[in-house]
Amino acid sequence: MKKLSLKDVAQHVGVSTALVSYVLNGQAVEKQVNKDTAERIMAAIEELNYTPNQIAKSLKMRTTNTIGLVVADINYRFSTGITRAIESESKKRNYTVIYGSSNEDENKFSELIDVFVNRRVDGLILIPSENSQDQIRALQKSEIPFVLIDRIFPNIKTNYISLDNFKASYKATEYLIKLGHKRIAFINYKTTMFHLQERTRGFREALSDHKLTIAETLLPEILSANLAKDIQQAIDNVLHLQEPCDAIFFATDTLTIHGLKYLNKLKIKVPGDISVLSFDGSDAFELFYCPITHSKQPLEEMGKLAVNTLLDLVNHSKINMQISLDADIVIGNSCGESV
Amino acid sequence: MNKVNLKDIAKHLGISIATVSYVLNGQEKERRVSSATAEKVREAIHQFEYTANQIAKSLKTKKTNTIGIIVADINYRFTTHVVRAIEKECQLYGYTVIFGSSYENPETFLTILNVLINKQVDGLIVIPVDNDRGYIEQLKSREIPFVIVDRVPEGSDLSIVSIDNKDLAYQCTQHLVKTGHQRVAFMSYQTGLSHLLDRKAGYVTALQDADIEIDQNLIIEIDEKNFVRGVQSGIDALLERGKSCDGIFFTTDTIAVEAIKYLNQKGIRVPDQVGIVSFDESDAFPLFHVPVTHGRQPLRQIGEVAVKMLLELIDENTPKGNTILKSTFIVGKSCGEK
Repeated sequence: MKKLSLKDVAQHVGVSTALVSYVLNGQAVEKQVNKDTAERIMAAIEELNYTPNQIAKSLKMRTTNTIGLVVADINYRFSTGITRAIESESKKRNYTVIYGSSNEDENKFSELIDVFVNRRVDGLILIPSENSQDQIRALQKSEIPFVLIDRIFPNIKTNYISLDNFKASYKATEYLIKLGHKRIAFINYKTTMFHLQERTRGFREALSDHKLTIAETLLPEILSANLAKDIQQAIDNVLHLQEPCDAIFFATDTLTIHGLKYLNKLKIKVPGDISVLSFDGSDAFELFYCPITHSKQPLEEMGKLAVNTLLDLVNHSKINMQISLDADIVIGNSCGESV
Repeated sequence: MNKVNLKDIAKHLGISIATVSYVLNGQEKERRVSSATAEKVREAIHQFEYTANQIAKSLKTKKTNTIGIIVADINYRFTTHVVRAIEKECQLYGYTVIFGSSYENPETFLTILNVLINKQVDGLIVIPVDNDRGYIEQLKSREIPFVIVDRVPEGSDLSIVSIDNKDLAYQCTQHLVKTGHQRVAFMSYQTGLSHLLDRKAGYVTALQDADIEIDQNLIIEIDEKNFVRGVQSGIDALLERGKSCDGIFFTTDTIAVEAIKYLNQKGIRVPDQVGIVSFDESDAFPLFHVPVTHGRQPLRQIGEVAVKMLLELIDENTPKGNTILKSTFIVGKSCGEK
């Protein structure tokens, strides 16, 4: 059978090849192709069974079918964990994901949103950087559909999918307490970010509910600019207190990885010398000689919900979706479970 | 609502359009706009809810100040570090970076390509997933400046940044031999990708140069669709009695980490029972009980050079050829080194 060309389709409909090309490339709206004409072109393409290549897929939808995903830092394991889920769900719904990374900089965050909005992605999924409230408020005023994921600003009402960080941290702390730990250190970032502060709040409240004193020296705060050094200092400090700690609860997997590295260096054994619990798991843990007990965020569910919520918004449904999911505790041996 | 523009804001504040533009583009420090003035401009923008239309701007300069990257897989450590380096370098030149992940799939690569071009990027940095030049012809037909990274296609009419994969693989294998390992195994993917084939060539040549016969039983090539199973059964096969290898060279950090996990699980002691070397570094290695000997690609440099090359290309489109950067080799204790 003779292979059809763009020209044949154009001739059949009675339009220029340029118009057919625009429709094929999902640029019908941008290039202001008349709606009826676009429809006739698409009908012809189907009728004539013309398939130039993969671009034909965008034919079915008249939009560019892209989701802009702005992550906080491409280096974060969490970012890559959730992106897997988002990509997979987007693919099922025939959307391509294009990324930007804000590197925790609110100016970069703003720039990326501009780029995506001006280039007409269909919607945005955002992991907002610290201090980006203004950008989020500006977005709300615009018409662009968006969903926040992982981090939220409690004073701004948006659609979001996040974890109940307070509950997860409370549960994990309680787990340590029930195993008999009495002087638990909690190592977190010095931050204004709500989701991280909630982890500290959960920790404190669990201690207080179980009538354990909260020694501020057991809550060192890490500056991300000086990560490795700060973590080492923090661990040194909590180990050398008059009444040293018997467990360390790290607020993120990155903090845990640095912590374990340092404990290795100091030849301190887990759980023999000290127990360790991590908020967030990591593949890296599996290289450690002791399986690390950690709370596990439902990343797949979060990613899936984010995509589906966004696409509902894109399709003009009126939504009010504020979801806080629960984390499970994956039990290893790092809290002395087998003793 | 009346759309306000630069001129209106400048008039309102009694300053030049240029000054307003500098503040809008984040160049106020460079251009020495006083912080008081900058503050007033920002206030005015906020008040008038001005949104700079990037595309309108670009119609004037015909550039959008955006660079697109197509990575092979966003979950590779290689990707995260190279993209980070590219972003940092682009920031110096006022470019924003957006990217897509092809997941080693040629069709997806083309889809992302189309999306990025549709989004009017000024240039592309691509990590290709195909050995045939089909994708290169596609890129050329779009008349967009592009730089290829990591996997080197045939042809001198291109701009490429890469490393010498064969050489680093040779070093990794040679190190295992020099540390007393005689039955050195090789673990990689079943693949046609040039950079991985080069790593195999390095392994083979190193053994040949050491007068060690190549044993096909010691060469394990995994189907990435069945990754975990593949690694595990590969390790099982290598350590089977009678075939026992005493050293393993892993061609990627992903394979190395999965293999080490399994060795851990099975209680196989490194380096006592088997020595290991990984071509690439992993952030997981420091958690292992011995420092892992590994190669280290100059990831930051790769990103920086790629950007510089691309910006030159955007300026004037003459191909820059293949820039081959040097890798380093980090000796740990996973081969029984003293």
